[in-house]
Amino acid sequence: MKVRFWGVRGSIPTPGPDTVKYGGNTTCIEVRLNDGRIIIIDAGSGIRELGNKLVAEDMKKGPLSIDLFISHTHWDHINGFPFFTPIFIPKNKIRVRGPVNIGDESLKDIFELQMSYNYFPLRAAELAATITYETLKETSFQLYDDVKITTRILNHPIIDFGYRIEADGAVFVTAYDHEPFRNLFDGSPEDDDYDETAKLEGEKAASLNNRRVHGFIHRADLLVHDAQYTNKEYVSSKKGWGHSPMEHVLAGGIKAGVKRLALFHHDPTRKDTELDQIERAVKNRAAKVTSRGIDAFFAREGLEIEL
Amino acid sequence: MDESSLVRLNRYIDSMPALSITISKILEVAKNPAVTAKDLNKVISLDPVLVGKVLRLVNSAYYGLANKVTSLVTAIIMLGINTIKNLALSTAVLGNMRKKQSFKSLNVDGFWRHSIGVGVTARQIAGKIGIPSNIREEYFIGGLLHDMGKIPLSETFDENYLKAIQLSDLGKGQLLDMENETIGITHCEVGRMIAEKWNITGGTYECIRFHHDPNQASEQHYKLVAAVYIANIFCNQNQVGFSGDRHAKKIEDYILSSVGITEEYLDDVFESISSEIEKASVFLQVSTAQ
Repeated sequence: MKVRFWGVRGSIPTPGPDTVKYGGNTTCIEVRLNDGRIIIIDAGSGIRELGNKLVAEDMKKGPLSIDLFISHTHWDHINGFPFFTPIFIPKNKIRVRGPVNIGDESLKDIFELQMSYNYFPLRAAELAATITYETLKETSFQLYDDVKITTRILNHPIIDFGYRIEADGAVFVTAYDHEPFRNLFDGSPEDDDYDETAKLEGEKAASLNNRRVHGFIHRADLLVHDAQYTNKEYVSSKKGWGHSPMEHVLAGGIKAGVKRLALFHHDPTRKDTELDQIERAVKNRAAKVTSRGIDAFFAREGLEIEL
Repeated sequence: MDESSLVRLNRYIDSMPALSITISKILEVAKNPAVTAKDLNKVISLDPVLVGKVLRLVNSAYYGLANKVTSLVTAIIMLGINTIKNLALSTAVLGNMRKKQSFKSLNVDGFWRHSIGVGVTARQIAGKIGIPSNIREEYFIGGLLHDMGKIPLSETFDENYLKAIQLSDLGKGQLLDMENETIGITHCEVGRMIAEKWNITGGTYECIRFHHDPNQASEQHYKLVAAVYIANIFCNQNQVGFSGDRHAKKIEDYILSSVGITEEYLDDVFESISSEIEKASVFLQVSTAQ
């Protein structure tokens, strides 16, 4: 399979001279199977250009059939959908799958909300393609006989999935937006609200969930992982925001035997020059820690990786 | 029970609100942008409906875990503060919308005290019989949720439910039988409906379903269900809150000894049970205006 990044930025699109190299579009990844089948992860603003390419190239062969998986429904992961040209063309089939948060809203409702009168000139009902929606749970299933999908809940302020795709003899995993699970019931006996039982149980729950993520990314040929912050930034003020410190991600990737690690979901304030600089440090660190040579790098728009 | 009554019950269960007594505090805590996991845990653990909904979310909606989650602490870590906060808010708001019809036949304060009381007593029993501290929470939750089936009964069939309570009060029989006579279904059965809808399984499910007859519990969960059975009768005997059962029967000796507890022990810890309920009650008095 081939993996191509169409959007790697977190939070909001960041066009401008400082983001030319890594790109300013929000998350979208194209997974192209060897026989041409199309899987897309996320519909951030990057999906617009992918849509244009699909229409210009793939549609020469006939209508499109697309499996679109959504990590979660925060805006930066769905905001490109109304501008994804294939949805306006009859006979195209698009199957949207992903988690929803609590409440009665369906994935369809959430997607269609951004195509309602106040936000967008066309209504969802006017889309010509056949679009179906399916809410996913944490599960493992055969998308096709030869394509296995596993979903895993990550730690983010909304229900959020990583996807593990096993096909064409390769393993591709996404794990964003995510920060390591941690014990929210920590504390010392001097605290007023100290509860030892809760502390011990919290310890167990956090470590269980981190082990599950470890198993999920285990031996991926390519792992695309949240790395919005440096450890310094994370510890000083970003805990609980649902994004990871890159040093932790690198260590976790090495431990899990990941071959290639694409650090992803760049902070909107991060300039190309900074990313270059931090990437050098990450690569040095990776070279020091492991002799197996994990290939760690920052994902950038347009980068294509064959697995 | 006829079809239309069942439909009404099911409809109520589908949008069951938090107890009116906890709503203000839930709103106060959950609206705080800096709310901590500990704050959330504290307030949620005082509302059986909310506890049930959190367990439902963590067990059925998303996780493919082999073992169901029975603890609030674990659920909060797995789902995150934000998700739990939103769930608490939406459950509390549901209750605010229908404040007027809250608990016509069963006094909500009495019901709440009884639920907390049975939870606290069951947890005390767990400690006494050497249940490891990380599993004691399951005893509290089993006790807290055991009478949940009474909420939809009381809300949906208020007149008949009042009648059932009165008949039981007059000594015509156990509340369970009076429910069957006047409405055609018991709170244990309605509890089972809720548990099944919410994917509450294992020991908590058995507490809800079998807390009047622990002999029906599975071997695996017998001690838990029997502890809740004992705690329930003890709280009724000592009028810890009021859940419709004034004439509590005597706890069978063989059940006490199968759990490994004596009535004297329960009498000894009565004070601490009362004081825990009082503490919870004070906590729920909202300190600031909404």
